[in-house]
Amino acid sequence: MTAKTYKSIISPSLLSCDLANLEKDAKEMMEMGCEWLHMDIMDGHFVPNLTFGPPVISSLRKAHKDAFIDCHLMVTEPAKWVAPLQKAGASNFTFHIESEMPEGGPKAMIKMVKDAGMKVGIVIKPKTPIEEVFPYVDDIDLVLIMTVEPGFSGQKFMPDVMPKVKALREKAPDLNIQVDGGLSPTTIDSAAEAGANVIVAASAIFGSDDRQGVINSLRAGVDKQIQS
Amino acid sequence: MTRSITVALLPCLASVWSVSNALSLGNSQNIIVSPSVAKADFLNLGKDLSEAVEAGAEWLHFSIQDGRMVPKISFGAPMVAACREAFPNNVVFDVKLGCIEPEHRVPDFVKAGADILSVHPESTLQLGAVINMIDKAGVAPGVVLNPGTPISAVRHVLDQCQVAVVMLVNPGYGGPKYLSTAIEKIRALRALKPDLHISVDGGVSEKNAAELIAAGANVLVAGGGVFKAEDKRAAIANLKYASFVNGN
Repeated sequence: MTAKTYKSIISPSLLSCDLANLEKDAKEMMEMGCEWLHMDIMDGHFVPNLTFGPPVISSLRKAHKDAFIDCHLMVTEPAKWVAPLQKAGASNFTFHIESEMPEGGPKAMIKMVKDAGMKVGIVIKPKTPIEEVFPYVDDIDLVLIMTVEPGFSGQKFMPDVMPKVKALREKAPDLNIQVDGGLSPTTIDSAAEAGANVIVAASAIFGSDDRQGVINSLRAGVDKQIQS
Repeated sequence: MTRSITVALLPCLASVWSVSNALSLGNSQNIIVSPSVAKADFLNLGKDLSEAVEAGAEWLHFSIQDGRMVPKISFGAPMVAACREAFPNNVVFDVKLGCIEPEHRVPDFVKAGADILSVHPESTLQLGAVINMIDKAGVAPGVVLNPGTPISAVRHVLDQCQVAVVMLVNPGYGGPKYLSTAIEKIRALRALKPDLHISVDGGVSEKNAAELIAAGANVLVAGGGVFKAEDKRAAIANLKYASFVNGN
């Protein structure tokens, strides 16, 4: 049994925190051991919700110089946002393979993000086949597999997306595989068994009275698989 | 959240009055400072907005930018809703929708607690339909005039509007101030509709406030001048009373 090279990473989505007190919630998440802070950037067009953009990332970076700011771009033309997000201090830039690509397609998009000094990820929606990301797995830092239709938090986890996670883990044993959408202590085992190691959670954490407990459960779910 | 009893008591006047469960905007002869939330501390919005309100801000300006109508993404309904939780009753949420097809955004912002929703004529195929949608939702409708927007583009909806925002700059780009064009428009708007709240936005400062007020503007959207100021009370007062300085 080959030892797994990846680690458990918890990346809470700050869209679900108290947006009037972002500093407090971001600090709490980091104190509770979350390695990344997940920022859902939506332009109201690629998905039917408009959340926030580079200025909020900028503020977060100023307050937390060492945080890993994990940005998920749900925008029509991600290429337009590479420079603004680099300037704002994003650590990671994950773009949708279904969105409008610059000339040269995803390959060119990947290069653009890397040249800007950020880590790069590709994200796919539930209906997009996993094979679409296979050509790029060696060039990127993570793949995000959506377990709900992107746009709103509080949706139900789609277990039928797990075969995609499994297929990707087999193809890329060392890759950071991230899941987002309805992850909670009840759904974590399903995701972890399939091979996901980076867990985005929103309402499960921020809606709970015991945030540390939820974070610990999510981590334990992944660690259990890593050690097996 | 109960903010008005007008709806329950006076349904027969609905066609005359703007039936609203949003806050009343007050008299258009009052000079109102509406600090722009875009310049506030995003990590501590509750605290920063509280300080501005305590320092005399009666309105709070939320400039929503979708990255397509203007080349920036600012923030959307979730942040407005979070701020509304902090100020359920005493502050007017002055929301400007710098979005393509604002008709798709209106329900989210009504729900989030906007008291005013202002839209650009260039952002939608039928401005009248969107203004009507906002009005029927019980929120005060407004229009935004970019430097290039003629009054003719908004003339037909002015009766239904409570607010007109006159931009001094090209939104999202900064750059040159079109002051004389803005002043002409302010005068024309004031003459067309005396009770309209005429707001100015884009580089409004103590230097130009008196001139804008003299032309007929009564709402001053303040940028970094308020939130970045050491003394927020003084910054707001300097704008609000700009007409009384230097013997204006």
